[in-house]
Amino acid sequence: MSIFRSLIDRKFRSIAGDRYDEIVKRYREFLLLPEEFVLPEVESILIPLDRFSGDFHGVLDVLEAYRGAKVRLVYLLDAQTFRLIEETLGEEEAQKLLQVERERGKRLVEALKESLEGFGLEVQAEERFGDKGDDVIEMASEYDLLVISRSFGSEVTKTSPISPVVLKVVQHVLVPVIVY
Amino acid sequence: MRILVLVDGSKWSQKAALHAIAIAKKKEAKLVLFSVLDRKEAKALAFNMGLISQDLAHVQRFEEKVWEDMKRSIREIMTNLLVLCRDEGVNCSVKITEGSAREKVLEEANSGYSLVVMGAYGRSGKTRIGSLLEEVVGRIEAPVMVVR
Repeated sequence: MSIFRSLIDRKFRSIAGDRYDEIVKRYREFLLLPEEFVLPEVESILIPLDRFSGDFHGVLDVLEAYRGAKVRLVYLLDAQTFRLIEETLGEEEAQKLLQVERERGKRLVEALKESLEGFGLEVQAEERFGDKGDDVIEMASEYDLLVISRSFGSEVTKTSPISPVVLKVVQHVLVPVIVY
Repeated sequence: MRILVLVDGSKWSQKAALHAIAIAKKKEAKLVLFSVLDRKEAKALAFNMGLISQDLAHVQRFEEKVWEDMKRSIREIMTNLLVLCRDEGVNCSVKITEGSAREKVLEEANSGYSLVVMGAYGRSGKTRIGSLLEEVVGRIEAPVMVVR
């Protein structure tokens, strides 16, 4: 690492000359400074799930690299959808649907939790009502990494291979995202 | 496990490479640093430079210079990343190709990688999310890591 750092430092400083500090200040957005050349540590991971979330087995191999990290699994239920169902079909129907959704969520969360714990990750799981896009964006700010299915929020098709909710999330979150 | 890193020379693609190296180190994975150089970019940049500086007479010379600089710059960035990989004990190789970024990236990314890692923005800075990202992220079969 030290060889690399000194190499970069020397090169950039030699190009910038005595205007190094001025250039760094003005063009900070474009420059990766020598002190930023460190391998990142991921200690906390957020994984939102919902009824549309696809098969997670493809991403497990990658998540194994974060052994020891704390993972929060959140099964998200769309609050607005349930409110609409309640208003149009009545409370009883809404409760039936909610029960089915909760069962589905429980199965998905348990399966993923078991796999992740098998890799030595510390997993906390929960269910939450809310807005799938905005809530994930807000929650993600407290984590080092977000892991999300490409079909989170809606079904995907061949012509639309990534959910609009996921696109919105990827555009707005400030932490690294793995889309699986 | 094979990990592909898309390197366009931007700060974000280099940060992406750091994340990929960290994963590769823990998983003992093979890392491929991949870059696509598009001659059209050099052409557009040279033309706009010539137009703004009112010196279109030398536009072809600008283009050649920009093209050579693009190749030299990406080779330097790749070399630096290779040195880091070596220091961290990561098995790493470099692929630099020429053509349309979208096509070349999709072709490479869908050739048996377990993870594709890329920066959220391109060389234009944080003005908007990278257009390449929007075009390819849903069309890559493997999980895609997007880094800021």
